[in-house]
Amino acid sequence: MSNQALLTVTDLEKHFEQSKGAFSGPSSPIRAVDGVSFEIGKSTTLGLVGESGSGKTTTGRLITRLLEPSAGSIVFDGADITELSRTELRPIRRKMQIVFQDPFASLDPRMKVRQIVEEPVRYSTDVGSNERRSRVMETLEVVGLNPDHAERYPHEFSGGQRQRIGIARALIVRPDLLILDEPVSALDVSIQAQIVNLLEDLQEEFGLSYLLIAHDLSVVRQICDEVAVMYLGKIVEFGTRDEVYESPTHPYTRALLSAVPISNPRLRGTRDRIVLKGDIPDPANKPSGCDFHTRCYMAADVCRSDPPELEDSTSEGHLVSCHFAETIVKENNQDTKGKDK
Amino acid sequence: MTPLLSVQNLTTEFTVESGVLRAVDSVSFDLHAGEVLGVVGESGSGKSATVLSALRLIPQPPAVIRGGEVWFNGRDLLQLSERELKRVRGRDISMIFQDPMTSLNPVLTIGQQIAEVLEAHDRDLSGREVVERSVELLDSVGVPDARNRLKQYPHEFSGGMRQRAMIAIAMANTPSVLIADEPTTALDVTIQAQVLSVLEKSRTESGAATILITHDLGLIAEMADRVVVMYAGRVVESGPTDEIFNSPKHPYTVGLLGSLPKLEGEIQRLVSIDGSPPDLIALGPGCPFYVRCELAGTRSLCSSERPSLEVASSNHLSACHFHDEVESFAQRAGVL
Repeated sequence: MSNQALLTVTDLEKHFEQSKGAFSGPSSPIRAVDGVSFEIGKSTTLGLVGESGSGKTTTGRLITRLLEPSAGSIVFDGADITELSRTELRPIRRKMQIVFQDPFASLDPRMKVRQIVEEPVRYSTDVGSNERRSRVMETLEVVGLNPDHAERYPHEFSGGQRQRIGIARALIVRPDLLILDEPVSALDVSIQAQIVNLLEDLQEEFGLSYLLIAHDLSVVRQICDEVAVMYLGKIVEFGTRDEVYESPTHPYTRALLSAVPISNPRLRGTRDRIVLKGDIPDPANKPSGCDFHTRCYMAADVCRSDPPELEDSTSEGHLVSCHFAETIVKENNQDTKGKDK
Repeated sequence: MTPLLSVQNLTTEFTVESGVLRAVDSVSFDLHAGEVLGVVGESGSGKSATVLSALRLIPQPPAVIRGGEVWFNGRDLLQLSERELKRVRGRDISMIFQDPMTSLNPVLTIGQQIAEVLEAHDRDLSGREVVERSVELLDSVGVPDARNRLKQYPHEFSGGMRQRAMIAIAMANTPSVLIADEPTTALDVTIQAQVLSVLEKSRTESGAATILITHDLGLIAEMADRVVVMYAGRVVESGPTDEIFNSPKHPYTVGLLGSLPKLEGEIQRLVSIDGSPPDLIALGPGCPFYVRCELAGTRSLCSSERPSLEVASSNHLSACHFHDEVESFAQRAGVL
């Protein structure tokens, strides 16, 4: 995969300094993203899953350099873009676009849909004004909007249609990578399904790569080829969709999956719910050893003292950062054997 | 069996700039002792407006309760005086809301807020008894170090802890009816699991009948005994949870089920519902779901006549002219 990777992120870090006032002395920075590495191949979808404060959104902003990384490197389409200036970045930004969560906040209410969608190509010299107009219409159609609605304002559209406008705005520059930051979590379930289907269709039609940032594990399973689970700024588990969902190996991933409500009442009692204790720790004041040990049901002394490395747990690149990965892999194997019988 | 709470033909309207909007349109359902009734629907379907109207908590104006009856303990809540109603709310019927930050008072300690509820319904409690009972309540919802936490303010609690405190307040007077409106929606998955298990424990221990209002079909599958599905201010289907999921009688329910990505089984393309929910001000004469309904197609009955909620099979009601065809429609669509 590495020779065709569209995006390669290595040891990415982002620290936010907190100002606490003049008399409180030096404060420790918040390590919002704390050494994250991954790749996204062409036409594939990587899901970045985690709860609030896990650093998933910050990671998305770092990749597009909407935020400046504190350390690490971002290689996009073979070029290192970590240090590029704003001008140098411009052509590259066209190749990667963000779709935001809230279609109410991310569209300018005073602009017509045509203007919103046109905006990213408005000042580009290689697209003439006639071509721009036809591209807008074409793109609106591609995302399932009526081109006749181009002269309307955002408030005249429903949440689902607004999200389509957001997707059209991202698509008009013909990007290779879309960073989808919780693209459906503000939408009702019937509308959510429309957008999920649209994203799948667009990927197939245009060979797009997606980085899907989401907290909803069922949506991630529906769309993603690979999944990275984040906790307190670090990836704690990474693997193909089937590996992560069928054999979750980090205790946190297992707890997350067990917490998702069942989809049919006939499955009642089939899922052993792991209820974690406590809240996610303050990222400015991370625990010693493994970040997860304060809430982990398997934690032992080693977890309180030594931070685990993200390592291959089985083979085939299923990475887990847990001292007890081997034990869990064994358990998982027994479970699958049990199911076969 | 007489239901514990019976809502009949409840209708609530809002007057807005562009006209009159019927947010709750002749809604009827019963809640029986000890059961969990799930009310499911998307934003604007009227699920919250229904229970807020039933308890007369909906702000009037802009809302006006146009009609209906809400029977509880032999009395119609809509006819009670404000004073009588206050005694019912909080003692017999209590509510848990989605966002505990807006429903807890930011300038009172958690202890004061629990005490307020306890004292309102038993004036003879001594100060010490109030404190002991409050500690007990916070303890039972899993707030660690309860005695000290009583002295803290809501902002000193995390989201999950606030929702636990809300549950403690709601359960303070062992109500016979608990209404939980999106109790876990604002919370992260792992915190959601914590709050759900606390809610489940409080509910089973007290035996309170529960109305669970949610957009999350998963929660319904997990907790509800019976389900009411709402669309455009009306009940479009109601029945036992297993039947709603496995032999639905309304095409909207089929669409909701098909829209739901799943954590188990083969991954299939989602079966979505086209279009968006209708504008409640401009509802035509036909079925409100007609324009989005694949089963309706071009049938004139659907576009001209509003279906009423009728018995589709025992205990199972549907407001679809063609409810007999829904199951096979769902199978064709790949939802069942």
